[in-house]
Amino acid sequence: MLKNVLPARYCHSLDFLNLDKLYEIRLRVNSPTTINYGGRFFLGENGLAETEQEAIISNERELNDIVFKACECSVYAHNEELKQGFITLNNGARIGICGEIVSDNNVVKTIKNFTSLNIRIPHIVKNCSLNALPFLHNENGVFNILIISPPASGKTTFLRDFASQISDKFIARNVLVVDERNEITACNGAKPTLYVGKFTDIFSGCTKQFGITNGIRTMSPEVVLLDEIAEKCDIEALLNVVGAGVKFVASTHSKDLEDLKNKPLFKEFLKLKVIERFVVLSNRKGAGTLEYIFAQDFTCLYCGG
Amino acid sequence: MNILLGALFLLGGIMIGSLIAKKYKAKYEFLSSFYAFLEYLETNFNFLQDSIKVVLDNKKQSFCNDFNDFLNDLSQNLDNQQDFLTKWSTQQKFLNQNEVLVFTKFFEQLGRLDCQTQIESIKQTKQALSEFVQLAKDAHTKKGKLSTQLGLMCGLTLFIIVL
Repeated sequence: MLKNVLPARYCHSLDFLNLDKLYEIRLRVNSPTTINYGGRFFLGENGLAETEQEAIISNERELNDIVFKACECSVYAHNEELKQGFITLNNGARIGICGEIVSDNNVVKTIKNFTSLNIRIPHIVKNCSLNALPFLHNENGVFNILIISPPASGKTTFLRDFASQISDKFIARNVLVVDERNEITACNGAKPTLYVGKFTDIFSGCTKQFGITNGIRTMSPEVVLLDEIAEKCDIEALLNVVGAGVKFVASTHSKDLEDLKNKPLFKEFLKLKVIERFVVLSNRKGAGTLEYIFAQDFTCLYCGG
Repeated sequence: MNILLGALFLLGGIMIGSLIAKKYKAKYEFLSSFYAFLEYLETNFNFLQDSIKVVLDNKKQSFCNDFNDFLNDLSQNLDNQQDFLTKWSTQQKFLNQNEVLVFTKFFEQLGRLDCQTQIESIKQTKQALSEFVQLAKDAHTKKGKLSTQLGLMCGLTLFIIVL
């Protein structure tokens, strides 16, 4: 799927790489292409490049073509995603987009003249949440959980695997995934490309608020999973989940628990003592390294060492 | 022998006339199909917003053959739209320069705009196209008929001369 959208010279270069190790490709107009390949590298004409000078330099037309192909040659059909600065491919890869914003009365209409693209490739790491699982539920079901990690450290992969574990092992009877950016499930039509469990309902491509309000009302889930809590409205959405007596599993960008505590967005929320478990992931031994699990009162339940 | 030669001239005249008339007809049908396609697209963009590939693959079968062929080729060359259209515009036979300009401009933008702008582009193209369709229709009814009749007359004249 990735090769369907990339220009030929990039596809040729990727042929020299093991795609299982590839996490990210960053393209900027008139700048060397960089990749996250278990570390930061340049992408040259024949795979990895040693120096900046050997790296592929992207041009404006290439970036435009990538976005056009990622939109299945139909920008109008993906404009809602584009307005939010990303396009999700059918395999769950997400293309983050920077460019010139076209707005009318402060309402974003679209993005044009793309300047940078960040292509993030999803990975399925089966059982990656298994070590954490015993700490994250009791006989009454799943706790309210917040997964914390720096960007590209396996939050979504963990979330996806956790959804399949609690669903398939009947830890929660009905699981609802609110997949705002279609990254967790990578739904292609009605079929999720990435497995999230046999008894999991999916709302994709909608806002967290919409997915939660309608999902709770119509699907009666026991647990709601959602990715990337980053705004005040996301916190409000989590409070709606709690208010409805439903458990949540959410993720957010933060270096560690201390970093999270210092974030203005979370200061008031943490005081409510709603979150029962904090799972901290890192990149220390590769993406998704389980570092710590903290309880509601911040006592450490698990330390990865 | 003379009768046979005369009959040949007559048949030749009719055929040349019909061929010229067919050209007018083909142009009219092509432009009408383009107009119908725009209406089909407008409805789709307003309600379903299917991707271009889906739109092209599920297109109505009531378009003329030439236009259907064009859409099929376009569907296979969506990745290289620009190159395909440049090649197509040099190879096509019945559209004039202004018509080609409207046609290629529309297809160059197809899929590259947001929904609102795409619908606006359809409206503008329809407006420009309606005039071309009317002219093509007139040419088809008047000049097409005239060409057939002239062909027949020429053939008949030659037939009489030979006799």
